[in-house]
Amino acid sequence: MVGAVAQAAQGAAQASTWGGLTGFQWAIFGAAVAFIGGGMGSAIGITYVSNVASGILVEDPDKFGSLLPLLAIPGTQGIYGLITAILVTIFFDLAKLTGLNGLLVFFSCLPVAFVCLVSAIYQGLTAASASAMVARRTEELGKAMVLPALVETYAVFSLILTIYLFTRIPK
Amino acid sequence: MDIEPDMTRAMKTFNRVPRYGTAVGRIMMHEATMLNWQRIERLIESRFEDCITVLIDTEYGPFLEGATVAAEVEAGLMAFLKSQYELLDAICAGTFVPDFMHLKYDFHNIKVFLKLSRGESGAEPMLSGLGSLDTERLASAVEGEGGTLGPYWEGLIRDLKEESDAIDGPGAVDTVADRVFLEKRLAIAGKEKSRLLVDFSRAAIDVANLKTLLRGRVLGKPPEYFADALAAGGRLDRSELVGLAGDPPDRFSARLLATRYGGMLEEVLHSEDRQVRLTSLDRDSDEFLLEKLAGMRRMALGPERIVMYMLKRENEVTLLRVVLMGKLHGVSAPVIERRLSSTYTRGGVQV
Repeated sequence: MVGAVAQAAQGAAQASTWGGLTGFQWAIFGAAVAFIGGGMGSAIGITYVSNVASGILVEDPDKFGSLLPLLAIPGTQGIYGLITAILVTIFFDLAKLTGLNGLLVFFSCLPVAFVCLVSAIYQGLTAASASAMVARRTEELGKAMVLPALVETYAVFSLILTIYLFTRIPK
Repeated sequence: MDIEPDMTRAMKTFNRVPRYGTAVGRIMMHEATMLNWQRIERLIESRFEDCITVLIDTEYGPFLEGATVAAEVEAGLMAFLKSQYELLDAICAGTFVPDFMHLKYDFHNIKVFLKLSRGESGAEPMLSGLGSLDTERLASAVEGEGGTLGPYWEGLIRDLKEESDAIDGPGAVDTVADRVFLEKRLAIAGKEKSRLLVDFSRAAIDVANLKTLLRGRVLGKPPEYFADALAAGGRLDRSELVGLAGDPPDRFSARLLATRYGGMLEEVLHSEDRQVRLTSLDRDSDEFLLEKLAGMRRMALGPERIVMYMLKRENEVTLLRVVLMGKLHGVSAPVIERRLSSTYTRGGVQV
């Protein structure tokens, strides 16, 4: 019985498709989801902080330079999504990827997809709130950057986890 | 009042940023220019001319430059406040915030015209320029000419007139209009479903009701007065408060102290006998409401922050008025400071 199960599992692992999709298709799906999550989150996060920053700039255009780092910081999640998507094509020989391994690649992409989506949005909100510090005193930019940077930590962790998981999947 | 589910509230935060983000950004810049307490203290210690010199470097500069007499100071401060309301109208156009903030002054002007129509004199110079309703149209509406302000305001003015006509005495218009104002403001906040503004408006109703109750008892008002004067919608049940009005003093004090406002009322109720120290009640209640406002900081990117800024600016103008008028009339620094700390709260400025 155990032998039969092991044989079935080995067969599934070596099958070229899983759930009707090939390993190549699963991997590309994962790469796309990673970028979609990170990219969407970044776009929304930047929009939030831009809204507030534009109000500040209407009153004092000289603060543009100080606000730029706060405006840019929610954009990093989109970069992590892009890195993940490119790593999928670099790490794996997509043409030879089995169905199961392709599925594993897809799941490995999910930490970046979801964590970056959510963290970029909340980072945008945090950066928008922190811009009040810059509005009051430009020299407070350093402190203001720390708050959204803390949110960034979890996006970085998700990228590290995704890359680590890639290393555990047979090429 | 319905409590929003957490998910709805979270989604609203996301929706509000695109709606209020730019306005909040502009408000952040104006918040940065507010006077801090050290600056107020410096003004208290200075001569009038030096006060004006200090203020020239602030947002008050263009409005107070060259002011030498009380009328010019008053005009300057009002012009400043008007500029703040114009800013509010510009950055929050199409939202409920201007309605929420202008309502107080619209009701003030309605009261003025209603009093005039009842033959109570001296109301004309007291008109406020901070209302959203055109005063000439308002006057026509109070006179009963339809088609000037639209059905909402005309219906409201008609109701106010009928209700105040049904009450005898000179304070009838104030009694009815103050109550209706508080209820309408709560309705605006409720319509927007801003939890913090609803909380603030309900607390304002409670505070106003408690003041009315305490003052009414001191003045020996009849029970029906409280039914007309107390507003509905606060956390303290209106009918219970009306019932309290006729209670004997011990029971009255015990029941009020058992409410959530017991701490605020302790000094007033214990000093009863029955000299209620209403000045300290005014100060404590303002302090209480400004503490409520402090909670609005949590909603850093919503309309609450804008409302908080406007209310704090109004308080700042009040503080400045006391200081500058005191200086003009030769009041000494310790007396001004005592007057500020006994009558006005520091909550309106950055401490």
